[in-house]
Amino acid sequence: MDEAVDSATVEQLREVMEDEFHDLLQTYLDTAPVELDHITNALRVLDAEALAQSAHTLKGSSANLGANRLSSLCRDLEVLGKANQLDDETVRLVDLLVKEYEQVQALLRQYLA
Amino acid sequence: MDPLARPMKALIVDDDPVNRKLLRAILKKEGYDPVIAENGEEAIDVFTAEHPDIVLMDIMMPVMNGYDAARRIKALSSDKFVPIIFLTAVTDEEALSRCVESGGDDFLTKPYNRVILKAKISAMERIRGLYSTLNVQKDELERYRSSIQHELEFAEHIFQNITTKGTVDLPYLKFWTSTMSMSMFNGDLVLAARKPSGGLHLLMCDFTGHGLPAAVGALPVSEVFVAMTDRGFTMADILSEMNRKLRRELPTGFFCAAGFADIDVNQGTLSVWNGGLPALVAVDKTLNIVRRFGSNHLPLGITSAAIRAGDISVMEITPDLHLVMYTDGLIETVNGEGEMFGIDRLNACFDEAPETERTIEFIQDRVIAFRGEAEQNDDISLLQLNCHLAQHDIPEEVLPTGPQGVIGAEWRMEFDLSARVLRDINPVPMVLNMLTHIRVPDEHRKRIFTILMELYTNAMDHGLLQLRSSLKSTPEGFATYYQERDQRLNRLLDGKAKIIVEQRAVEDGYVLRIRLEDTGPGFDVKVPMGKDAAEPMLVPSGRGINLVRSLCRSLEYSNGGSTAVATYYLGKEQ
Amino acid sequence: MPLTTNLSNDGTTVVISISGRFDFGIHREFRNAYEKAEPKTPTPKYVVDLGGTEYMDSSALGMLLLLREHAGGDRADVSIINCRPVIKEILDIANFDKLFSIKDAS
Repeated sequence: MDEAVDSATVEQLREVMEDEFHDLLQTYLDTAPVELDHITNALRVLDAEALAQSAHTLKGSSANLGANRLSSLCRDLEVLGKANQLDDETVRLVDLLVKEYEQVQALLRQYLA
Repeated sequence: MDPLARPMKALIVDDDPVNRKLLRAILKKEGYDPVIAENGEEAIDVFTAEHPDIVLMDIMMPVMNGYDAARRIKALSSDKFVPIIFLTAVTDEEALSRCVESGGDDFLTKPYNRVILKAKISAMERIRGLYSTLNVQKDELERYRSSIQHELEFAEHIFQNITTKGTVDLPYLKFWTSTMSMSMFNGDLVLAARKPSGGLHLLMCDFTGHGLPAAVGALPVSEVFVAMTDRGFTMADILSEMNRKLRRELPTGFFCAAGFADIDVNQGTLSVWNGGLPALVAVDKTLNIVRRFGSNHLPLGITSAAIRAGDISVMEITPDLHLVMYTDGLIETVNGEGEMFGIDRLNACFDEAPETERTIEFIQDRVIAFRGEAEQNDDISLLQLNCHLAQHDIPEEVLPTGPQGVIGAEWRMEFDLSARVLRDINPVPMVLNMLTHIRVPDEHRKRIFTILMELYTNAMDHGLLQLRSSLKSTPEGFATYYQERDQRLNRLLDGKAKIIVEQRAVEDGYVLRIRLEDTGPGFDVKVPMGKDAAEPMLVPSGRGINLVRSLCRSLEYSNGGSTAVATYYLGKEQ
Repeated sequence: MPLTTNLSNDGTTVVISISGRFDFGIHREFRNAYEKAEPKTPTPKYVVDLGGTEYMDSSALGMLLLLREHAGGDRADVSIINCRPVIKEILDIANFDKLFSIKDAS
């Protein structure tokens, strides 16, 4: 599972969604950056709860789109947020998350093209 | 309508638009009609408006989380099964148990897998199908139960009307009825009615079964009992009619065990008939059982045979004579150990009760104490009649309800009665009814009935049947007298009786002249009853004749006792 | 089995035996017993053996009346045998000896 987005999952989505496939990807591309912003912002203002909440939301939709690495980063952040643990580890994970999203969105845009 | 005919509606509750879109697409593909809510609170609104068949619920959502929403939705849909499938990434035990607690029926983990979702949904549908079948059956049962309930209430209403109509509040009649557990009303019936000549008819019935069969049987029984008693019919006539009616109206297998008691004021006698009840008990002042009237006849409603005077036991009413009557529910009362109260414990009550007056209260307390917490499995009726007081209860005059005053006219009715008729029919009620139709004032009806009945009884017993009153001076003689009467009546081939009733104008108004003739050899009316009477001497009961004399302007016997003429003053024309 | 039915060898007598409680609970079995019996005569005799019966109530009396009607009413030949004292007493109070031939347990 080297790819940022699992291609098999995406193909299944294309089959299920039919003409709504593009709309689904676009919705993800519209909403995911909002959650990412929430996460970086929550880290800045040290709001662990908000961080956990947004990580949870991003985790679910990312899993559904086959962005498995992103989803598991979200899961780790959700755990830290719920444990009210905002430290270097959290900062490191958020960095990784932002970078991972860059890869995910680049791949998804290829599907949209 | 088949609920599967319309597309099933699925409510998707998720705050993430990507998840919502994906689920909606999957469910559409499965043939569902998806509706959407973005949080728990919205879910409840949509649920109320759309009545979905299944709910897919995310857990962590703003405004109201999935647990709370699930609980509210389950509460709203308590009458039918609406499965809730939680959408979750969490798989730890605590979260799962919270899902179950809040009413979740299954889980679906992200990422969503179409095959798994389809399998879960169809599993839920199978359960839902079972549920709705169960619900249909439950509804049917409920409808059935409520219609039965309705019918029972109807029956109870009828039954209560009957019971009220036939129950007189009499100071010398006490009774206790207790209805079996699980039943709305008692299958036993106690009726009492005063006779037009004074005295009382008393009837206790125990129908097979409870509820409707009992109420259906109670209708003809009470109608016949009340109406025929009022018209002056004898207990044998009344019982025969009830028997015939029940046989005709109740299906085979339903019958009515009954006890009938008659207090005859003028003769001073207690007559008892028992068809299927436990023995009726006559007790004296010191609670000695002086007589048991065991069941000697089939219960009512089994055959249509007439009840004959010979089936009836007669005894003289002595001071402080009480009659105790009960249904088998009393002695078959079962305690917690499954033991029956039984006849021995009942007999002990007679030995141990402190006073005659309160015998049934004593028995009642004993039975209730014996039963304890155990369930009552049959209806119980228990009554006590103070025969002596009943005999001396002179009924208050009924206020006139029909035409008042005398019609100023003279008329005459004559009945010639052959032996054939006399064997089967007591003509007195018939004559009395005709008098009512030709507007003899109501206030006189009871007295006229007494006069007619006494004169007729004398003409029959002492005139045609040649019975000796002196027989009745001993308790054994009483029984012999009535047995003998029945036998002789059955054998009566010759002889006639004639009843003539006429209204005549006299100086101060109008009188009713009642004339009774019989073709018997006559009897001596001058010699008082009992003492120094020569053996073949036939005398009418002194009591009866004296009563008639007291009611009439005059009473004259002629032709050696074969003709009696009573003149009764009716009053002035109005 | 609280109720068993037997046909005599010559096929003229239907014997119904009841053990335990004889009450409304077995009314269907009781009716089946005489309706489904296939005697070899149009006017069979019926014998109700109450040797094993411990209790009977008024609905049992009703069932006996139905059997009597099935067997021809006043022309019926129905006997009730092996009655224990408690059962005999119930039949006595109802004066069923006027309708059935009743025999005690000997």
